[in-house]
Amino acid sequence: MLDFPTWQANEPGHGEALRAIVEEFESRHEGVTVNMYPVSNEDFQNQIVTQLSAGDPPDIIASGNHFYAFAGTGQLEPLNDRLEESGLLDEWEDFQQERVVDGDHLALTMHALTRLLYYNEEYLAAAGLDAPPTSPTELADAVEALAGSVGEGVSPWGATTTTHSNLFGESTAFIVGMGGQWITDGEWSVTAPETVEAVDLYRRLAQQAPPGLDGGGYRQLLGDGRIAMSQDGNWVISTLDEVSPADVRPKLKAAPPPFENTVALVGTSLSIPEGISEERKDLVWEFIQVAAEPEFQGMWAGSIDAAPGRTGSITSEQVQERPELEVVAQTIASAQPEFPDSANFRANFGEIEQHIIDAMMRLLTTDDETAAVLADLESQLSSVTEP
Amino acid sequence: MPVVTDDRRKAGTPTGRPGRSPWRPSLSTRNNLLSYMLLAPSLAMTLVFIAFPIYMIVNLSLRDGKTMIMSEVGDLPLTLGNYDSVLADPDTWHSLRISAMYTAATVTAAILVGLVTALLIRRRLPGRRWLRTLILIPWPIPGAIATVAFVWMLDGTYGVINYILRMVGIIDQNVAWFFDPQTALIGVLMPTVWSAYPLCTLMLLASLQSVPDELYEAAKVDGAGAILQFRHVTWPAVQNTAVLAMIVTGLWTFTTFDFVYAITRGGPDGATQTLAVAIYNQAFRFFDLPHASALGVVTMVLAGLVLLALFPVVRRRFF
Repeated sequence: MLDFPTWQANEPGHGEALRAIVEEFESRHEGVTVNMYPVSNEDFQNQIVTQLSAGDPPDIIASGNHFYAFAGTGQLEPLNDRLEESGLLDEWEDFQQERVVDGDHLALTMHALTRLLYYNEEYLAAAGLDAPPTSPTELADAVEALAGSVGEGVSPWGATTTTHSNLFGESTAFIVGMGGQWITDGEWSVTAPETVEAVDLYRRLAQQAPPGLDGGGYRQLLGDGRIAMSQDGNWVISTLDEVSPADVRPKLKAAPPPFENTVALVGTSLSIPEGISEERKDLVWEFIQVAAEPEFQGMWAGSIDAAPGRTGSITSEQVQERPELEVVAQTIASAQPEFPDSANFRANFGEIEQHIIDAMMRLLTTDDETAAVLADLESQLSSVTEP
Repeated sequence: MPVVTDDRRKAGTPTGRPGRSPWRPSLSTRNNLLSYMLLAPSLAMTLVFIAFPIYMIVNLSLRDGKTMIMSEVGDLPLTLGNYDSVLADPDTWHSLRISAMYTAATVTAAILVGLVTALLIRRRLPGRRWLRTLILIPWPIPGAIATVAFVWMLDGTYGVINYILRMVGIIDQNVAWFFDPQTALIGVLMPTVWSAYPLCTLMLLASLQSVPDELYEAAKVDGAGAILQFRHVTWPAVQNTAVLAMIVTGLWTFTTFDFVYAITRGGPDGATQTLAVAIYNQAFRFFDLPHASALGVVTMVLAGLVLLALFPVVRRRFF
């Protein structure tokens, strides 16, 4: 039996795609079963890091943003030889590079995700807006117009407004979108003018969002028609299909983010741990190969509207059935990585993320100047690591 | 008849009893041996489950470098640098202040609620047995479940607490309890107190039940009203137990982690970052076990100092 803990086992879309891969693998390997079981996302990183460090890991290692913590244990098997032999690298999208550490491919990415602008077209029309915003200035103006037109109980903007790891991703999307990064040219650029401008816009919009909500909370409000606009992951399209009432769902639309750049988020990746037998490693590699087949790669597009890792896995039928997939493909094509190009940033991500989360909460809950908060943040990040 | 002394037994002098081996241990030695044998399992458990983890934490706290692999700990050089950085870190003192406020507020509220509920269920009210069960229900409820319930009740958009406060006119607009640094600690306190007060109720009720009704009747005859009866009859009877309940609840609260982490993760902007959450973050978010261990040792020492300071009070009341 192969152990396969994942935080996505019960997630809509992700869970179904993973179960299909498991079933196919089991059907091809008589007597081998895969025990896929859910672990909460909050506990997943600690649990897997502890197991990897103790030399007693599960057989199949899934990761999202946890990847760098897992790689940091030095207990992920390089896949270079296997990837080369199978020829998979030639058929894989460039975002696979996000899983390369010191020249070693430590995981195979299943798909990439991006952020989209979601809006309720009824509220936009009521605010006198013919189309969704296409630039940061238009976005700020649109949210201001919506604030003046939406009724009581409806918020013009939705964002995470509680201590949560989403704050990193949501603020980074504004920074990268407006041409910045946390680190540029080997220096911390937290107080660079473009970062301050981007974070200030992020702050002004997030202050219009209902307070105290995490991603699940404001997505539900968007689905219920109680939020007019938000920027969120493309996987939210399928969530809206599930949670939004029939009279609201047709009004909810997705558009590319109104920024110069968009952000690519490397989604689920699969790795082989060092601390298992060679026989098990071979079985896990066969599992990864099943997941890499075009049929299952196409499922990521169908189930969570993601851009599959394997080039050309989205069929024209899927695009016809799901027009948002074209927006996703168009957005990802020009996307920038979410993380800056810095090994130190990745190695110390847990601590860096915590400081960024605290700074964003300070921006949302106090009147402190944005530049002053970011100056403090830069000083904290500098004390954590060299850029 | 010669008197057999311990000195003679020690010297191997025959005691006059037939068949007694000179090498046979004395009764008191055998008793001591038996005592140690009976204590051995407990001592072994204590060594394995208390002493060894404390040794590991102290050992880790004196190591220079990050590792999550226990077998590599011994290879790291020894240092006092972790204590330097912990004591020089303003976050440590901030967390200590939050822990102290959280503990003091929880203990005060739990004792007050516990005393009120104990007085209530001591009365011969109809349905007293049901009431007693109802009041004690929060005690066995796991922290995670209580947390989920309170997060819903205190939600800033649709929470029932905001609804009730608006209905009775205490607030005009919904309070986002866990969003605002001014109210986040209050939001976290509510489930903590809810979970802590039943133990206080139980302890105080046991004390109250030992007060004879005649004392209250005599106080009434002397013209004492409810407040004077509480001051001169009830409080003297329960004050020793109240001190014990405060210490037990205080120690429990000082190390409580689940409520705070599950609700706010120490936020917003560190407003609820207790020492327990800070230790967790260092160990399992930043994977810096030596720093987390040093912080753990400092926390242990602080808790020990508070207990030492309270010891004269406890000795005066209980021994």
